[in-house]
Amino acid sequence: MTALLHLTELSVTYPRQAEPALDAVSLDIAPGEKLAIIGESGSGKSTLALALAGLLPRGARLSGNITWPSLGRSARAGADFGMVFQDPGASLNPVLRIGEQVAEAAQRHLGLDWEKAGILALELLGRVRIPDPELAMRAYPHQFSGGQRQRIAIAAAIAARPRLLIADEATSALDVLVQAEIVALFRDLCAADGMALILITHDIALAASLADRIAVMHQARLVELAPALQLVETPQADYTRHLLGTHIDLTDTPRIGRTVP
Amino acid sequence: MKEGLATDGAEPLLVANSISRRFISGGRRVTALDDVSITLSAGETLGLLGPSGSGKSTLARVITRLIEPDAGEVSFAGQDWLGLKGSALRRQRRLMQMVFQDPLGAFNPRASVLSAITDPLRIHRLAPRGQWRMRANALLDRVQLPASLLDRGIGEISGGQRQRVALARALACEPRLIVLDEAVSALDVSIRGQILDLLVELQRQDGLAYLFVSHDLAVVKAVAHRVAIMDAGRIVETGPTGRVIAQPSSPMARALIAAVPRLHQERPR
Ligand SMILES: Nc1ncnc2c1ncn2[C@@H]1O[C@H](COP(=O)(O)OP(=O)(O)OP(=O)(O)O)[C@@H](O)[C@H]1O
Ligand SMILES: Nc1ncnc2c1ncn2[C@@H]1O[C@H](COP(=O)(O)OP(=O)(O)OP(=O)(O)O)[C@@H](O)[C@H]1O
Ligand SMILES: [Mg+2]
Ligand SMILES: [Mg+2]
Repeated sequence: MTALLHLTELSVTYPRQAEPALDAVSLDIAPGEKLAIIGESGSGKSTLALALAGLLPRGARLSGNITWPSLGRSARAGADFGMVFQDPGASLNPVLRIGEQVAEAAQRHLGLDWEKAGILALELLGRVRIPDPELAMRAYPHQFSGGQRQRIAIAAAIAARPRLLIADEATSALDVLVQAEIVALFRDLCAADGMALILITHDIALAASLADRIAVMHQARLVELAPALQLVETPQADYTRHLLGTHIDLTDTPRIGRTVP
Repeated sequence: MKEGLATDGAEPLLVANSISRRFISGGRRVTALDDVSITLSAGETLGLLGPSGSGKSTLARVITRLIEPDAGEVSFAGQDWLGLKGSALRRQRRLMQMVFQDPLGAFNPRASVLSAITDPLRIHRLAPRGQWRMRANALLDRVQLPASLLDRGIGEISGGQRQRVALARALACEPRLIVLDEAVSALDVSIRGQILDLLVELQRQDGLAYLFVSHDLAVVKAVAHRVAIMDAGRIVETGPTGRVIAQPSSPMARALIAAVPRLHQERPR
């Protein structure tokens, strides 16, 4: 199958920095594929997302190639890919009502009139489990909790039915119940619409249960890329083994109970 | 087994009593807090768990005086905390710090990492100017960040790095209580473990207390002596962490515990 997205030797160096934040990363994503990216804090995961979306800060140096083979052209933000930023504040416009934010994408990219876009927005807010969606449509981002804002950002990012959703820590503030609903929604969109997903997360259990493949980042490099279960069961890279070994589980001895060394 | 609990007769460090808070805007009415009470002793960690929208951050913001409650009292370090004003409030404020769920919004976007960490040293006169950089270095080191970040802008670091800078800034204040709202959620599990160890170590050394808001049950279990479970603005269950996780009595606690994802599990196809 033709890849949706194809990265070759992608490197990024931020202004005034000697070391690259992303160092020669190559990877392919197929239509409908769910790829999770896990790894060290500061290893370049968000940088990769920003590079894909063409949103690196001015003065950042990019080398290598980003192509969209199945599109046969370069991708348009909103229509071809949707993005949920790690910082929910960055995904939402503080002065736009929730309904407008979500409907805007559908109106612009799907060519819907405002009324139809509004109906779609209402439906999407329900799907991400925002309580009282009719009333929520008229409220502003600051009037919602952290997890609600993340879900509103997800609704806005999927409104135009993008071919790829890039979700950067988009479920990090969600309780396990709501997270399960969002995961089901992601599965649905990938299965039914053939949407591809790049899920950046620190939650390895989530990555393992949702993704087809998992990529592991460490110090600006892609150190391992493998089918999800294989990566969790038989990690190859030293860093992956280290990361899996430090997973904090419900069965662990509480840290407050441990004796001081 | 050392519990680090200072419950021997001493008055609790923090008492929040019957806190209520509603939000009304347009047609939307939300009872974010409905008659919520908690206590916290020096050297103790209270984990606050609950579904998204249940009122956790609102409680954290009332306690740290970022918003006013409609009703209820808070006492902190033996004082009527909500009644404090002016210079008395400024002096006491240092003793209660907060690490926010959304750290970018909590910083001046034009600040450098250095000034974000050293502002409290300057404002509260905790160290002479000549020592600021050295102190900032030491604090960065404690939160596992390299000194090379000091001269970056607060927007020029990763999300997890920013979360740790927020913690370093809170620690710079030498507080007695830190309210941590999803403060380790943006960290990889390896660094998360190291930060949790740091929090526990500081608690043992200095008797720091933490109100630890998190949706991650395993993390709460690792650090909290007691937990309170919130649902729709109310506390529906409290108790020692181990007991609540092993034998939850409220439907919400049961649901949250049952839904915890496991690393090695069957996956739906
Ligand atoms: N605007 C910038 N200028 C300079 N360096 C930057 C900038 N933004 C990020 N960096 C650095 O680039 C590296 C990669 O950052 P990035 O945000 O991609 O990490 P990440 O993997 O997403 O981490 P986290 O899990 O903490 O969110 C980090 O060391 C960070 O300090
Ligand atoms: N400024 C506000 N105006 C109106 N409603 C608000 C405001 N702040 C919070 N709320 C509402 O109050 C309720 C509690 O919000 P809060 O932020 O305390 O939840 P939370 O438990 O921290 O959730 P999360 O886990 O998603 O961060 C939510 O329904 C939210 O929409
Ligand atoms: Mg990031
Ligand atoms: Mg919150």
